[in-house]
Amino acid sequence: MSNKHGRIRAKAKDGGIGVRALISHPMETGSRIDPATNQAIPRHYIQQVICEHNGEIVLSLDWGWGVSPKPYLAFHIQHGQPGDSVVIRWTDDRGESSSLETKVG
Amino acid sequence: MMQRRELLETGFMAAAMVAVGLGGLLPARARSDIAPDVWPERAFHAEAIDAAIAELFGDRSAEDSARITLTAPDIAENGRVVPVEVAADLPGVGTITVLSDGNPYPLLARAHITPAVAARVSIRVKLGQSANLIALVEASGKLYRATRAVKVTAGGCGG
Repeated sequence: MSNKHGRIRAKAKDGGIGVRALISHPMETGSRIDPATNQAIPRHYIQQVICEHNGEIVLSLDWGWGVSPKPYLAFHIQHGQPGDSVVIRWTDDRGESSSLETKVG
Repeated sequence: MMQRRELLETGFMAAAMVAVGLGGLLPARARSDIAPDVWPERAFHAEAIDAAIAELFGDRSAEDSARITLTAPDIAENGRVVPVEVAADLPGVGTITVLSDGNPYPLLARAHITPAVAARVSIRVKLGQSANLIALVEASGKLYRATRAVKVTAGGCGG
């Protein structure tokens, strides 16, 4: 699935599910200078990521501003099948939350 | 009348105390075992790698382990986007933590692994300069470490 928040793919693999996602977020460190204004671009980054398989939390991550812009995340769910639901939710340091969801193909 | 009022007041006091007691208990009871820990603010703001590790793991020492596979390019042409994969062939993996000893803020990311997923996570990180990537894996109550040097030929703009 793809939307303005990013892209997610979940494919049945080895009896489990391979999940790959790209999240649309600038992941600003706070130390970059905007050449137009000569001012530092404020720090802005995702802090927490929660990954769910059929509604159960299977993986969560704490991120800092050292994670790349437009963050990539890949992981493998041990047991699953086509049609299962996979959701990735995140919250950034400004309290903004978004999510990506898909069905396993 | 006085007696009745005293009784009522006593009853009120008791009800209030029960309510306060419940208020204290409820947040703890609502917490789930699988809910992620609170985001480790002090560790992410630590400017020395030892301080970041101490914030997360106290004074526990890490043992180098060949059962952790830390995959990253030997040479990163763009320090802003360096792919990193950590895979741990260890039983009972709880967390995987990734740090860089060359960044102004060394802690990059931490993953909380459940038995429902493989102990293998891929992300991309910023490296401000050539540095060592360090993966720390908590497994069955012990702490294990793997290290990998990455040469950066273009900067990661802090990190």
